[in-house]
Amino acid sequence: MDARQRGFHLQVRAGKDCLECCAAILRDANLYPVFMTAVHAQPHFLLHYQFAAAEQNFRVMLSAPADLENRARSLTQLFPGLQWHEREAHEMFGIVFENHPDLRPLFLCDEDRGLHPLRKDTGRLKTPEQLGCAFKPGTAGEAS
Amino acid sequence: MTMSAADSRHFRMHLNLGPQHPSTHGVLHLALEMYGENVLDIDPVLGYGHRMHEKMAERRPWQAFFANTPRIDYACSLPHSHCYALLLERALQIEPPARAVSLRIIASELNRVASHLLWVGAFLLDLGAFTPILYCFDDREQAVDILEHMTGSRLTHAWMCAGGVTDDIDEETVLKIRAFIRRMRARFRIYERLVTNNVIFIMRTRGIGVITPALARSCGATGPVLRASGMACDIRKVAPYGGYDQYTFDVPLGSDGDCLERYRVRMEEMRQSLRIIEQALDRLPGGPVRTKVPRTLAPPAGEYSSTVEGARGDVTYWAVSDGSEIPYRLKIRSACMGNLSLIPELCRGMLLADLIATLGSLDLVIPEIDR
Repeated sequence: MDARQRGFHLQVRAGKDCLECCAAILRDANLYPVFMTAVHAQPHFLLHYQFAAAEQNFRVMLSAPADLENRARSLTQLFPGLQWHEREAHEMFGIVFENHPDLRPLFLCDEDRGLHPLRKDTGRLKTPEQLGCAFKPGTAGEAS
Repeated sequence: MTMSAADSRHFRMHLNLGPQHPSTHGVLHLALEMYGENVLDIDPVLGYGHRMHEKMAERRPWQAFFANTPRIDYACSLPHSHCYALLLERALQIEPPARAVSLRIIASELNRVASHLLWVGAFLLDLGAFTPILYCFDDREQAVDILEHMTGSRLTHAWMCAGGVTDDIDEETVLKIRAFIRRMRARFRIYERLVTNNVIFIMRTRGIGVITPALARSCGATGPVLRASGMACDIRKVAPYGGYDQYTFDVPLGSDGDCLERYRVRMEEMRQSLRIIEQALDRLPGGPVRTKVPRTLAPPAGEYSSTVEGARGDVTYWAVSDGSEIPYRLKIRSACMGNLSLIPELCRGMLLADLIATLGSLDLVIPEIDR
């Protein structure tokens, strides 16, 4: 993978169960959390995390699928800075993060609860293959 | 303000700081749990400036989002446009002309100086010093005037585009920028006398709001906040983009990580920005400022990411394309979100006055967090 073309150096596609261990390795490597977000795709949401080294040119994309009930493991125990990002993904997409200490809405007002504005209409949904982010659950690692 | 007094001497109260409080810089609402003058718990309430830029991106062609990027962070808008332009150029493999690369750096650094000047004034205003903001706005006005001349607008500079910039600069602008650099170098001496060595200022900021590198890293704090804690995290140096590797400049570092260090780091950064602008003007190449790009842009399906150093830290744009002319998903990472998210951990037990100093020292632009 060409970092100049993609903007990151390592792409890790994790299964739902090994997301936390992958994140623990990145934490032990002293990376800081850049962002966490989701992409609405068929048949399930895709979760994307970016981590970067503060003093070196090294950026990692960690991706995992949410399950079909829109549930995922929270990484806030490892990276407290992801708390607000997960709250945002919760209100924007309706993804429920297990073990998150405080899943209140972050930006939207109370009337918009359950609106999930970043979800797409069914007709516009694409599969991970069409988006170039195909998942093979259980296999991880594709280094540049 | 509601009070639930347990007894008359020691009372707890719930205090709403903001969203209209002058020291919350825009529309930040802090729900505080107080014990006398001490802060027991802080709950930042966000979303007053939420405009859903990420949804807007999914409803318009790729290049139409250039109208949105400056509106995300109005105090330092050009790095956001720069980041999005780099993302598109990366995805479409477009090479901007050499003159546009230099012009982007000149404008971004001028914008950084303007943003830091605004911060110095507002920070000192938070600490109760009224005079510095008058000096800062005087200087910032010069920078904003130049940017207006270059880009056509004073705050929301929609000037960068995929493949370069929309307008060239003339000889008059070059002279104005050189005059601004000369002026600023003389003004720094005034700031030294007025602020840096001021006893009250030092007592209000030294040892206050100490951010350890570990806390900053776990929360994703970047930019001057992280550099004041002694970590050399400057995207311009660490992962040079848009031609920054061609310039000589230093990354000012602090060691203590307190409010005073954050002030020192930003003051020194302005000097370094002027150095970069000067070098860029000295060897400004000629030629066009924009390459020809197709009318409709459609990056191949896949993920793309680009990162720049904004005035407040790591600004990252991450996009997923499905190969069509409209983005499938665009994520905007603002530096302020990481910087603000350490506040609850950092300020527990602090005096309210120190909380104001710490908040001010983080250089928050709340609409950048809300997006």
